[in-house]
Amino acid sequence: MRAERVGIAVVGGGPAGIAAAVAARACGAPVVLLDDNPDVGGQIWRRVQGGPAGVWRERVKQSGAEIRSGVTVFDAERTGGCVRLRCDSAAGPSVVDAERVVLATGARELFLPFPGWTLPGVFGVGGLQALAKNGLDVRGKRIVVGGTGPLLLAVAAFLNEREAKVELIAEQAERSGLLGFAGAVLGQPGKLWQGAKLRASIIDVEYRFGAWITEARGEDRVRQVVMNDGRVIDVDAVACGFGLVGNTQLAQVVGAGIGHEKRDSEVATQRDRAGAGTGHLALGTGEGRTGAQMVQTADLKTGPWQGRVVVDDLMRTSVGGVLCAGEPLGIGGVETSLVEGTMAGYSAAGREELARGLIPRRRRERAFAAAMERAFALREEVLRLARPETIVCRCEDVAMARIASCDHWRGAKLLTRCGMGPCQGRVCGAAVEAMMGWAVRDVRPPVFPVSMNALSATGGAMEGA
Amino acid sequence: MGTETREVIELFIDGRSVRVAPGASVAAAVLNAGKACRASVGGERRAAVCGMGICFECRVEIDGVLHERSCMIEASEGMRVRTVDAG
Repeated sequence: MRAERVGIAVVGGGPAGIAAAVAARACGAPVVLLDDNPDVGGQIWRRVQGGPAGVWRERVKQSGAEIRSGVTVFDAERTGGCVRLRCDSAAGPSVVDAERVVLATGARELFLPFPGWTLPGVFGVGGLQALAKNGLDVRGKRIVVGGTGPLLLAVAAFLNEREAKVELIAEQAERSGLLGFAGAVLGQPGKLWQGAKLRASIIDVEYRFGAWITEARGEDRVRQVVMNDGRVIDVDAVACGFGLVGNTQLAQVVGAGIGHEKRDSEVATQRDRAGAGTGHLALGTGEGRTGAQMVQTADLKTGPWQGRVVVDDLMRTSVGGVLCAGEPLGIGGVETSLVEGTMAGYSAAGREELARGLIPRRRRERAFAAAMERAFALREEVLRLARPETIVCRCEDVAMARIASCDHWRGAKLLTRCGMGPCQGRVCGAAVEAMMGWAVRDVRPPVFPVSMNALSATGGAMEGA
Repeated sequence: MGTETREVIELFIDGRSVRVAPGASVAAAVLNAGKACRASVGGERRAAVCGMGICFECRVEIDGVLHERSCMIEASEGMRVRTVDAG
């Protein structure tokens, strides 16, 4: 088995990871970039050649960073003056001991259960795009794109370009709620232009605000969707996206502090009541690897929550030598990830003054992201679409009624096996967090399923044994 | 990789020949063939959802190896894939 010591290890090859590797290399630091996809670029730049994607991909490939694709990091542990990363790949397991680690683990989609969402043909909105980029033929397919956020538009435009027949884009947010967002966008002309360009390219597709899918129907696969106004639409596929959730699993197992930020449906309400203000971070304390895995009682039933990794102005987490950038800090998008990745790279390489110089830019990007999150806050109706019999945990086939009978996430896991399957709660955990308001934070290594061989070879099998 | 030079990849899904462009994922090939991927614990047919390796709904058997995430694996020449629809 491969075991080695490196200077800086960057985990994740999306915009944040790429930027971190480039910045650290620019300072002359040795960098190993570990990414579980076949090529760097992350989800957002999957198979995108031109524009910033091409520029940054080229930059990182020329940077001198050692890029290892197809490598899954399934555990991280602070040990003996370094951070030990346990990895698996087609070539076998390996251990990387890094002086500093930048966690740039990106985000995944938030999937919310609704009747029929387990039917073949119901995809995540980013999921359908990723599959189409990787060879799924969508030509002539009738597709309803539903959920919330700018990703709906981007993916609808993409599908349209690929000659799919996008029947409807259903945005759950009300138009009025997006007016405030337009104000925030106006402060950033580049983004406004991007948005306008997107709208123009799908001008012949129906785009509705205050609209959402309440049910998917079909026997063998999805055939129809029912909209909240009762309209029934024949479809070949459904793409739904309810926003993104940062991947904090690796940060959690290494013991990095995780903060809470109330999902903005609630924050917005509070702000409206208070009539104001900036800044709504309510940071909690981190839990160590060996610390109590259960969340404090006070955290329960008070959400909805979204856990995010807490960092200082230099992108350092609460664990020495572990930095974090991009989506795990809260969904921020490409620009935020690039700035934070760059800051993390400088910081990891010991060039703190360079990182500090980017603080104002980071603040601007984060303000934009926060405005975006408020504008596309999930409405109650969308969080309540699952019926008692609707499957919530797709790995273990646990229905909503069984989960609703529990008091907290840990109880639900123990009693129903919810979140105990191969996805390890990546899908249902985030859904339950949003729907029930429970804090879902009991990640344990390995954060991805790996073979016993990989566990034992890397010394990662001892935990909880 | 060798696959880059080919114009089309032929693989076998439940014994049937399926052709995809080089670089296509096994999940895309399975879906293009009109098939689902796995049977859930409760016996439901399931297919790919997330397209990025986190939901584990796209698991199939590839060249005799069970539970492979088909969205994370590129189709390769002669690959043998078995899905829930193998019959």
